[in-house]
Amino acid sequence: MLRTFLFELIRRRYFFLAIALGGLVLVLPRPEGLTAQGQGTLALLVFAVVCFLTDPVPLPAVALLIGVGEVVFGIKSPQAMPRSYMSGAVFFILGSLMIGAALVHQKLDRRIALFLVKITGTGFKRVTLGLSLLAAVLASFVGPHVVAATLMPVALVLVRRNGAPPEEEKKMARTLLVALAYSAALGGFGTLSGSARNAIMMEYLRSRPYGIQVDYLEWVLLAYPMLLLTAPLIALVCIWTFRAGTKDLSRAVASLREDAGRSQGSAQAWLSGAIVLLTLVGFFTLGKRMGIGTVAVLGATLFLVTGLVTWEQLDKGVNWGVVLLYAAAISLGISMSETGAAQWVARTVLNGLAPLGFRHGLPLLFVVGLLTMLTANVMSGGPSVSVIGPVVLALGALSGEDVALVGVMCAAGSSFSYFTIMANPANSIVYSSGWVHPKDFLRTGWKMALVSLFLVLLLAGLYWPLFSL
Amino acid sequence: MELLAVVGEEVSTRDLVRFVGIVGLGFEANVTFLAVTPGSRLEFRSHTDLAADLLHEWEMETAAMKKLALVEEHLVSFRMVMAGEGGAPITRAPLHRRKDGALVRELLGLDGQTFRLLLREGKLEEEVVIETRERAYGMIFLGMPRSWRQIYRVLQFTEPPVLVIRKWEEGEYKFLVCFDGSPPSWRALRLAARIAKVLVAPLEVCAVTEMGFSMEDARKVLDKASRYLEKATIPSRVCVEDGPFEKRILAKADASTILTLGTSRKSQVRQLLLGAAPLRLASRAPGPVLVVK
Repeated sequence: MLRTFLFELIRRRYFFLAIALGGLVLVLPRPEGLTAQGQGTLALLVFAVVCFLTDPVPLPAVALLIGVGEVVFGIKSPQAMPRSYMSGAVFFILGSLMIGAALVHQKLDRRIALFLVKITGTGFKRVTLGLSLLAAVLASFVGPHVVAATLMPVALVLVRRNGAPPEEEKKMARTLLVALAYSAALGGFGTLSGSARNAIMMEYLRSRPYGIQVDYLEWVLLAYPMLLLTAPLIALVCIWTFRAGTKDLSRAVASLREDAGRSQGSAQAWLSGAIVLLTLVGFFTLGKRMGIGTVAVLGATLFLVTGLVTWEQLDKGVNWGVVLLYAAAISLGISMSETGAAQWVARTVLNGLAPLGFRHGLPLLFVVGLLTMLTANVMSGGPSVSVIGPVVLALGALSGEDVALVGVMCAAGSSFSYFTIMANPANSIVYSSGWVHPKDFLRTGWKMALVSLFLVLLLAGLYWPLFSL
Repeated sequence: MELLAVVGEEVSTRDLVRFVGIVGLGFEANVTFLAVTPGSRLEFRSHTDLAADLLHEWEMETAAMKKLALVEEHLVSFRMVMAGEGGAPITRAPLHRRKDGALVRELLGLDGQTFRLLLREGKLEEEVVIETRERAYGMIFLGMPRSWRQIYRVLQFTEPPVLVIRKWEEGEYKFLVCFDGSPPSWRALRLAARIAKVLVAPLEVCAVTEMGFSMEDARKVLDKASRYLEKATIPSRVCVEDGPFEKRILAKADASTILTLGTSRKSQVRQLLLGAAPLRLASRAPGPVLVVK
């Protein structure tokens, strides 16, 4: 009995730590400029951050406790709290996850593999480059996890069927898989449907006090250059870091062609391609009028009504707990802005940054990008944007910057998930193959972090100001 | 009887399978080989499962599944499981997901027992504790994990005896049982005797005179132990050592010694909170350590 009790206590120690730290924030004397509701929101934020970092209990439980906390601390009324859990962004995340799950069942991996080797040829460096670009572009529309899961077997087939010695195979696998994970994660930044974190940022920008409506096309125009510039550099950095000696993949490509060639051209694949295309056209054309959440859910429903996927398959393929988690995170983020907690934190941070010269312009954007990148690598992209987002938007507003661009910078930083396995589903997926070691992410990560921060600041300084949102 | 063998990071799977397989066949016990893969975050779990399914379609496996495949390969090569046509093992149950989410596959053992291949996701020490709570295992074989903290947790929070296999040397093995006549040390002696019989390994029972345990007491309890082992027809020797317990025992053990000891019930709370001699010995012994509660 005592043994079991102690075991459970030790197992959940970080949950109790989260409660204790949240409680501490609640009982500390309230600083000037922070409302009682704001203090309650900050207590909930601290609790959520510790839980996101340490994963001590199932995260849907944390998501539900956030809602309970909002009511208990008087942040939201019992009627308003449930409403805040179902925003347009949550609907959009739901639809995107359903489309991703539906696509996996269409067996597109072999067709994508054929397309890849058709455009790249058989050179190892060209294949790595092609894989990076393809992963980034595909992930920008259907999400990093779908792309990483679909292309990982393709990359491993190319490694395993080329007849290289085991040590060389390891180097080849690391090059291709790390490039795949990084490109897919970065690709998620490319469009609003690429990743939940973009949808979360879109919702924060849309809500009070900002009221900025970002549509699908505007986001693509802002984000895509970053993606197209960085994806090839990811390939080069991985090639340079892992130094595989293989130059030619003719043997593996021939085997892959033979394998993939057997499953060409089913009507099902064409139909699913058409639905994805239609959904994308819907995002661009109807997104502003109908809301992109509605379009996403319509796309997902089309997969169901055409019989391309069954409800059971979708039910199994979509992680509903994650939808709940993002719903809670968005609700908490909006509470941060509405109660003034985000503005109070932003003021405090800004006072600390001012003497260092990071108060305006590019230095401020650099801080936003760096901060989001670091938090994304320890608690993953979505939760990171959820908790950092409201603060950096308030920071942008207080310092007189374009709030929308600050938001886009925050989303960009969250896609630089280069250091850890937990930073992004794509990293976790390639790690699960057993070919990649955690330190491989560190070896390439610092180089990519420098390159990416430099590029995003370059775009923020020269290209983004051309847009007015 | 059910045995649980945890595939560790720092001990060869081949050695673990060979040792546990021999004991399992000798005991006529069902053996579960447990591999634990680091748990991905909840938000990624369905994605990594999906990736594993897609890899499987291309006839490739994830690192965790490869671990289980390796166990199966060794079970076949040591002829511990029944093989059908083409040398493939006969399955009692194909790979499926249990209600608790663990993946499991069951093979038919040579003498009709079950060899179970089990894959759980999470922290190794926690998953071992949970698994032993859900099923009644008679003994745990713990292949050396990456950190000592994991061994401490398993020793602290599981009920069945635990054999920590740190390093497996080729050649003959011998048992060194630390004995003071207490109920736990009797349980340790009985279990060691059972395993020694299966392995045909010599056994030495040793009492250390320290802190109120006199030479006369030692001789008395060793006498009883000798008689028990004689009755059980297990070749054995006894010895008495004088001095600090851990130091004396470690001086007698080498890499091929299975150090066996019981833990005192009286110090359970202390053990849980502060650790105890078995935990310290397990971390310092050059060979395997069997801890019986």
